[in-house]
Amino acid sequence: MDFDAERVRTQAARVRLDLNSGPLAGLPVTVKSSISVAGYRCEIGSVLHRGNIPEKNAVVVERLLAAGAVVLGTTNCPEFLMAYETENLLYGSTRNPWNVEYTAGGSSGGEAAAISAGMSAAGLGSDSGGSVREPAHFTGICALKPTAGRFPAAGHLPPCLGPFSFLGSIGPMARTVGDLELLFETLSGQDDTDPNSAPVAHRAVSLEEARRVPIGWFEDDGVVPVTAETLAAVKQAARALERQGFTVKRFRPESLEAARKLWWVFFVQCGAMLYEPTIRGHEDELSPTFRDFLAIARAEVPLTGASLADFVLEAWVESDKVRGRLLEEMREFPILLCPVCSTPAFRPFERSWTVEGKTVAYLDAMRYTQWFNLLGGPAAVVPVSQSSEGLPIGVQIAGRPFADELVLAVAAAVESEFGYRPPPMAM
Amino acid sequence: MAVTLLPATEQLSLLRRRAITPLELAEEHIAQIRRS
Repeated sequence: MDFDAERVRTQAARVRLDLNSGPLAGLPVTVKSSISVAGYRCEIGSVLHRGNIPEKNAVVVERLLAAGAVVLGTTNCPEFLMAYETENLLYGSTRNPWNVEYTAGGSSGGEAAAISAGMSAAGLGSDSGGSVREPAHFTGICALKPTAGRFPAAGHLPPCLGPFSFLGSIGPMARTVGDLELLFETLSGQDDTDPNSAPVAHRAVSLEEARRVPIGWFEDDGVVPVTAETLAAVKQAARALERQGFTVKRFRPESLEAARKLWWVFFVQCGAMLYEPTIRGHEDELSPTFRDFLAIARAEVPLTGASLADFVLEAWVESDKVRGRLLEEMREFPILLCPVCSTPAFRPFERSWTVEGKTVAYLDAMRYTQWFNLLGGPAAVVPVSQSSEGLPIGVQIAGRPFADELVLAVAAAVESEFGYRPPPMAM
Repeated sequence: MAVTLLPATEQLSLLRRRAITPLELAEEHIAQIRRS
């Protein structure tokens, strides 16, 4: 964490608690080091950005400060945010507060570890493929990937442009859903600096209103298995919702795999293309995790010129069709309950696992979050249980675009029967 | 439970009730960061 105790004390001493105080007055928070905080390192985990200290705050950071929050510092992330674990050549590896032999996940792993361990009350991460949700699942906290556009993304590095304008979102991370709701209400809203931010007003959703919305749940996607403990956690959450009067039925959209394949095109292939100019001539300065990502991306047939343009345009058109199909499928079940990942947290640099007798590769294990980035809708994670190794297991609640408040209301209902527990090392 | 492990909403409630000052809450977090 880039952290300066004296600067924190100065900020805290200036906080005034009175009738005019903001909703976060005096709350100590952290911010992922891909979101600009003036005067703090924003190096996106890369030696190529070593010493990058923004002079200007991201819009969401301005809103945090205007609400009275005290920024403790910025937190670690993997190089260029392209990994589900947090390791880089600047600060090493961020481990899991539940067991330091395991990763805290990525790319918002520093943020998740800090919140799980009580180093920060809450904070901001970002998510283009599960980057707030996987670390939350691994460390036993809550997170929301909002609908793209609900949080202005200006000030995020790399910029949320092109395909990343709908894949990616800045999102809140915290120990409870109530904390997520508070951050969401305080920080969401349109800003002209982000052409993709949406003029959608916050609207609280009551438990009664949420109960009227049918929930479809599925334990796996029929392609990549999840651990028996993960499956059990989803079932427990489904039963908890039923007990609370929700209508919960088995339902799995058929378009998930098509959505994942398109996510792959935009996140992996286009992501690698977008980074090419930055890394050209600097390949020997890249971290092992980013090299892994490049190796995966470059294993695809390289495309150039007209064939590349055709390929990207075709994927763009197809993604709108698939998103439309998914929305149609979700008409009957506007909320989905499902796993976050095939497994709980893994050991650093592990790249495959045996799950229910099948070999599951690294990026395949994380597919459970990727669908909802392609859809562009909200998805929250709530801790529900633990593995036999004592690692947290969360469940995911996803909704149609702009149903963020509804997703949070359902997540709160799940949390009321389970929820955050502090890791032993934090006590 | 340590104040740093309470939900953010409960920490804010403590602040509003003046059960803890912003500086004291920041110090608790600074200490937790240094312990971790």
